[in-house]
Amino acid sequence: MKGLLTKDLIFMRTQWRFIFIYLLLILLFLITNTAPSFILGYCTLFFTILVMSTTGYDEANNGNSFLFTLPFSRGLYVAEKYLFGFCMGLLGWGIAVAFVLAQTAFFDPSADLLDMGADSLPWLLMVPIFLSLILPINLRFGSEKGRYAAMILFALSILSVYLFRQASEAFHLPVADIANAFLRHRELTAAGATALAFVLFFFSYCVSRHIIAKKQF
Amino acid sequence: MLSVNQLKKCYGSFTLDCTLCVPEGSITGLIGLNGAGKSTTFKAILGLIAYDSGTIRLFDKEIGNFTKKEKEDIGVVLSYSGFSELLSARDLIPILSGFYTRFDPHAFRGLCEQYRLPMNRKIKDLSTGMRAKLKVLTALAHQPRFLILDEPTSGLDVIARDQILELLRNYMEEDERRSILISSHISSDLEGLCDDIYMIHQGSILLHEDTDIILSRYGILKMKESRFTSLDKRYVMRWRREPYGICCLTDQKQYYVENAPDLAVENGSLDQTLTMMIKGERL
Repeated sequence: MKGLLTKDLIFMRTQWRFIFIYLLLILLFLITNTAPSFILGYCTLFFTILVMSTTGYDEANNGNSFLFTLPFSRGLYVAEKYLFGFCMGLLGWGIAVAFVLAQTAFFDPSADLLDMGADSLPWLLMVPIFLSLILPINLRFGSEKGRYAAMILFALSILSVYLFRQASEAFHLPVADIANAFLRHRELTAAGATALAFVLFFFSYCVSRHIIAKKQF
Repeated sequence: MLSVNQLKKCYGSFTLDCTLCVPEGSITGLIGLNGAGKSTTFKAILGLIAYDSGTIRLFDKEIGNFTKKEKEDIGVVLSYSGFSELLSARDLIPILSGFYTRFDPHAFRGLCEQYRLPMNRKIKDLSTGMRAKLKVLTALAHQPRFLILDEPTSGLDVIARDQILELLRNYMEEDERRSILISSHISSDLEGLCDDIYMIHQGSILLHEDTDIILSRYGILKMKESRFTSLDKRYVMRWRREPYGICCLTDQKQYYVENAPDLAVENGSLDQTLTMMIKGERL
């Protein structure tokens, strides 16, 4: 796996200008007091999506044909993508948290930073969930279609939230009561959500392994 | 070293049906027209595609059961594929170190310097010749036991091709147990390098012969059509009508030199032999 990780890290190094400009953009969001939840989500997702650019570089100019003659198993290739994606997502989340804490400390010095930090933990779950949905599509259809799939998924998730809100209002669903019940048992909710996210992550990894095992180059 | 036995793969109207063998310590060439099945054969050997039936054994083991350690003993050059063009030769050093336990960064740098490959230039900015050389150096750098080279000299000028062939000869001289399977449609490269040749056409092996025998015993006979009628055809493998008369491929050129001095007899080359095997008719 060392060779695969080294390769992908070198790819990231070639993207340093793009990443630097992106971080400047985040700085702009901070200065303009953009909502922390937006920064957390945007930054975490951006760094997670970088794994898709590595698969793109792998497959460019028929590169996969040569790549898969190197001494690693197809299963290891998939494992490396999930690990790399998770680590990049974790990095993105860490950077976002640091930025958001700095923003909060500047604009609202009285705010409890520890509480703020704890509130940002759920955003970390976006990483395994997003990778679980995107990587199998990326590996099956290629990075180009994977990018479209990522945008569609993002749009669908926003649409789902909107439709759910509309439906709960129309049918008077006890959303607030349910939400309060989850909040009352915060730790259990967090544990359950985390477990679900990682079950999905593992299932996605198994699907991706099957996809790559059958792929012909 | 490598044994491919009745390898079958169907792609619509194309069927590959191939049996070949590369002994230890030898260089085996695979020659054929574009679309003959050379790359398909290589892809099957390398595990890049599934095949319908047959067996492929390398280092006396089924390739499907290869571990990382066995894969490290293989060096690969594919004319149509390689490392990402965003990488430079210098970038390849930590990557190859991560993949291969026997990779020697110092030796790799030395070879790049010897063959004047700029270490810091991205692959996409290298010339065609430099890219080809880098591919071969990358394949050799980890001291593999077996090289699989799919048209490594494709698109190169004569000097660049010569340099690559020199690299391959040096590689073989270092260890007599090494082997190479190389494909090309530049026959002159294979004539000077290979111990034996497989000719492939439309997915099937047309001919397998030692290179020395093709070059020394095979020949082209040229005659008028009337002479062909009375010709002793025992050693005629293929024949073909030409504007001047009839042209024949024989694997016993010397017999006709001695017994039919009236015939025009030309020395066989891989190109001519391949052309006659494909376009000529059997008796």
